[in-house]
Amino acid sequence: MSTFELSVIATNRTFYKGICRQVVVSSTDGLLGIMANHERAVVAIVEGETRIQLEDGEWITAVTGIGYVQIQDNKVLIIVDFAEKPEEVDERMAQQALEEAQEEMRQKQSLMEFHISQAKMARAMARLSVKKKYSGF
Amino acid sequence: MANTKEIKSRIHSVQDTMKITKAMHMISSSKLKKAKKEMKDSSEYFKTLQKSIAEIFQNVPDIENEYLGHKDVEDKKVGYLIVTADKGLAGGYNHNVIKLSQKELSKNPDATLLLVGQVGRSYFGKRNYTIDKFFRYTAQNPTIHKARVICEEIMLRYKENKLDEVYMIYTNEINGLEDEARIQKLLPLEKSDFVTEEADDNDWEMTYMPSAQDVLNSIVPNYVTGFVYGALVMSYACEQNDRMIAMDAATENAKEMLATLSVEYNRVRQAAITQEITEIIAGAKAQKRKKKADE
Repeated sequence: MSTFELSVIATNRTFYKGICRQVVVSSTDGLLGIMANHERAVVAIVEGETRIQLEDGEWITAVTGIGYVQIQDNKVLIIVDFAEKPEEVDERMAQQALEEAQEEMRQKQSLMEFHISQAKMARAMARLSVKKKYSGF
Repeated sequence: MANTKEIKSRIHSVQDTMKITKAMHMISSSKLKKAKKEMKDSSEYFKTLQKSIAEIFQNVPDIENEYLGHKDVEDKKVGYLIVTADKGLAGGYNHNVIKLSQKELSKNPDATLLLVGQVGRSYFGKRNYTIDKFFRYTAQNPTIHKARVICEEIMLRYKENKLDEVYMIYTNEINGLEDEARIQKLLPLEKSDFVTEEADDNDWEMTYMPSAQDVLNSIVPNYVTGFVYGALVMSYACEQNDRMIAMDAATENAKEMLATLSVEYNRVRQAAITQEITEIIAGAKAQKRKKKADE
C-alpha cells in the first residue's frame, strides 16, 4: 500500500511526524479520508477526531482542535491548535470546561464573549466525545 | 576623602543592591528555562505555520475576502499590538520595543493601541495615546488561551471596521544572546507579503474544501492566534534572557565597586591610624620634654 509523509503539529507539541497509509480528519462537512497521492488541497478542519493509519496498519486516534490540512506533493501537513490522544484527555477538566461554557452562554454576553464560549464548548465536546468513544475497552 | 563611616555605609548599600541583582538573576534564569522550553515546544508550530501560510497564499485565487488585500479606505485606522514586559530592569528589552513603537506611531499618531505588559501601558498612558485595550497578566504567562482572547479582540475590531490594519510589535530572538524588536503585519494579509523568489513552479491548481472563502475564514483567525501566541512566548523568553544579562552585568559592576570601595576604606582607615599614632607620639614626646624641663 502506498504511503505518504504526515506531520500533525499543535501549538505546544509535534503530535506526529512520519510515514502513514491514510489519515481521517474532521472537516467542516464531516469526516474526510486522505490517502497517498492526493491532489493538492487545503482543507479547513474543526474540533473533532483525527485518525492516522500507520504503515503497519495500526490506527492512532487523536482529538484535535480547529485548524487546517495542507496537502502538497504527497506530503500532508495538519496544523491544529491542540492534539491529544484519548488517554491524555483529562475528562474531568473537559467536563468542567463544558459546564463553564454552558453557564457562560446562559449569561448575557457580548458577541465576542459568545464566540469565545462557543469555541470553548466545541473543544470540550470534542474531547469528551473522543474520550468516551475510545475508553470503553 | 570621605571618612570611614561614610564609606562603610556606601559599601553596605552596594552589598544590599548586589543581593537584589543576584536574586533577580537567579529568578530570571529559572524562568528562562521554563520559557525556553515553551519556546522550543511552540517553535515548530510557529515556523511551520508561517511557511505553510506563505505557500497557501502564493496560490490563493483572487477572491474577495475581508481578510485579504487592501481595504480601499482613506484615513486608514491603524492598530498596534505592542508587547512589553510587566517590569523594568531588563536591559534594553522594553526600551527597544518602545523605540520602534514610537517610530511607527510618529507615522500614525492617531493609531489605536492594544497593549500587553505594564511598562508599555504606563509609558503610552502618560503620552496621550488612545489605548483601546490592555491585556492584564499576559506578558508574564503566555498561554494559547490568552492568545485566543487577543485574537478575538483584534478580529472583532477588524470586522466592525474600527481597525483597517493591525500590526504587532514584539521581540524576536536572533540567537541565544541577542534579540531585536520587530514589527509584523497581522491583518489584512496581502498576497504580495508572501510571494518569495523561489515560488516559481507553484502555480498549480489548488483545491479548497469546502470552499476558498471558508478555508480562508477559518485559517486566518487561526494564523493570527498562532502568530500572537508564538510572538508572546518568544518575547517572554527574550525578556527573561535580557533581564538575566542585565542583572549579571549589574552584579559584576557591584563587585567592581565593592573592590574599589574596600581599597579606599582601607586607605582611609590606615590614614586615620597613622595620624593617630603620629599624634600620640607627638603628645608623648611633648610630655617627655615637659618632664625634662621640669626637672
